[in-house]
Amino acid sequence: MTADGPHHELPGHSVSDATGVSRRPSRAGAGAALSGGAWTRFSRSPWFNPLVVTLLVGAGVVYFFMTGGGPRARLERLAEVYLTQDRWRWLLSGLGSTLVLTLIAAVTGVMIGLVLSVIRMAWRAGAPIALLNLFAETYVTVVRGTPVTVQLMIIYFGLFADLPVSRVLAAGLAFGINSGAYVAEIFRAGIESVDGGQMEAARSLGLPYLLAMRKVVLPQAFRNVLPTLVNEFITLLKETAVAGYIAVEDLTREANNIRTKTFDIGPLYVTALIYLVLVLLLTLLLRRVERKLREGDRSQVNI
Amino acid sequence: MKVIEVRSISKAYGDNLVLDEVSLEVRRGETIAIIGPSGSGKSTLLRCMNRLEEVDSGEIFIDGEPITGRGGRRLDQVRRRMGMVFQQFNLFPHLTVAGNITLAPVSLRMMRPDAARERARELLRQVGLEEKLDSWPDQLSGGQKQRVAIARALAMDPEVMLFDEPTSALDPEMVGEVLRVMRDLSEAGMTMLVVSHELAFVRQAATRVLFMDAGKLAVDLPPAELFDNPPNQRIRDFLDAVQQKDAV
Ligand SMILES: Nc1ncnc2c1ncn2[C@@H]1O[C@H](COP(=O)(O)OP(=O)(O)OP(=O)(O)O)[C@@H](O)[C@H]1O
Ligand SMILES: [Mg+2]
Repeated sequence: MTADGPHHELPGHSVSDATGVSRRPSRAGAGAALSGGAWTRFSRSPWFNPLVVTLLVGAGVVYFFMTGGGPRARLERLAEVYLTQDRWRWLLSGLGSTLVLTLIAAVTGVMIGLVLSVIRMAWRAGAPIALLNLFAETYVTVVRGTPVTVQLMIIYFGLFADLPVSRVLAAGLAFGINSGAYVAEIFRAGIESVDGGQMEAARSLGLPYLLAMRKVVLPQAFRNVLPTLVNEFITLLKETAVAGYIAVEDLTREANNIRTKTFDIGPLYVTALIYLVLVLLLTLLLRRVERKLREGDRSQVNI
Repeated sequence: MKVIEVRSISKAYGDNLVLDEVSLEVRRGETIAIIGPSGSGKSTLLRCMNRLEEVDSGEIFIDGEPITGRGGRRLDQVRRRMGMVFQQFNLFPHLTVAGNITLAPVSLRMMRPDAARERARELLRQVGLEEKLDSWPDQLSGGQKQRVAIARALAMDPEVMLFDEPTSALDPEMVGEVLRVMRDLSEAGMTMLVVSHELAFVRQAATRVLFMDAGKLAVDLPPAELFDNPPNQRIRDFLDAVQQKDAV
């Protein structure tokens, strides 16, 4: 199982599968025999992955201290790498930047995605907005068809070159602009998953299209795509690691700063671990969301 | 007094002519039942009236005002004057019963939230569901859902109510409660157009029955006359088939 596709192995598959949108190719069908004993049940529990990871990391740590001159030499080396110049603080501030960056990107991405998807749905429903729709389609095509790193550099060195925008904000917006294209596809699938009778009922009450969208269709669409959306945030978090290209001092770049000063690649491992923990936390959140949704579905079946 | 006048409307989907020069007048307070075989255009007729579908030609007037074509009144305004009840209820599952009923009046700023809630309570009492004000749709039976849907449509104070097979998705034991609400509404003087094959209800509540056949209004008669003395063999066969289906 990967952090990108944990929901694919849920039996009776989750709503997110129904949307059919996933940034990476899904590995659907990989899991799933319903039978199985204690081991199978355990291996499906949300704690299985964190546990395995902890064991592996623990083994790695033991190995680390038992080699290369033994624990004492290792500890001295660690102190030199992380405590000199308070370098551990670099990692901390890098983590802060990464989180702020991801948050800005997620919020921007959701807003852009929302607008783009509604434009495309309204066009399909017959609204006279050919130009807007053309823009929305082009946006999605271009953003999805080019590397995020190139987009990041173009946006920062090009669009924001003369604006007094901090690097973190610029990078956040750049990643948001990128994520918006993917979120648009997620929302579009979500909107399509809402029964057409909902829009008709809302319109028959006299609600204008956009109001009906906002009050009736989008809340349901949003619920349906929540798991897919959390997946997108996971991808986003990892992608921000390339923010160093525009000299944002994010987690990855700070780790590399320490490496260039100390010629020690340990900080990169630490960084990998930090990302992993963050992703696992988000995955736990995702599982929770999915469980809640399935419980909701069940109560809808048993009238 | 005429509330609705339909003047020779036609509507086609591709080559499929679904409404063929249909004309119709509805007087205030009338309850008109529409029956006919599947695919004959009954739903399309209702949907054209509140413009969920656009007609290809012809005109529709409400209180003498055109609602179709150039110079037609704004879409949302037209729809506010007509409530619609669907076969599948189409309650909003993410809102409570009260939320369903107050959504339109409140978000269109026609009522303040507290006033709208009181009105919702009143409407629910009218359909016999006052205690369900704060329930969620998925806690209701089919019959209760449909009664809430009726209350929701009434919350906009429509001049006309359109019902498209409101009981045909219901378990048989729930049909009665919905029809009772509709009959009360009809007796209270609401102008109604009802697509329904519940013949007992039609006979009791309808002032006129329209028989649709292949996109045309084939017959327009009071129910007693139509049922006791079907004007032609085709209608007799249709009524027999409906009654047979009811019997099993
Ligand atoms: N959106 C649509 N696109 C294409 N054809 C349609 C559409 N809606 C309805 N039709 C066709 O129009 C015809 C009439 O449909 P309509 O729903 O009005 O019939 P009906 O009398 O309500 O039938 P039923 O009793 O089955 O509900 C049918 O042949 C149907 O297939
Ligand atoms: Mg129909």
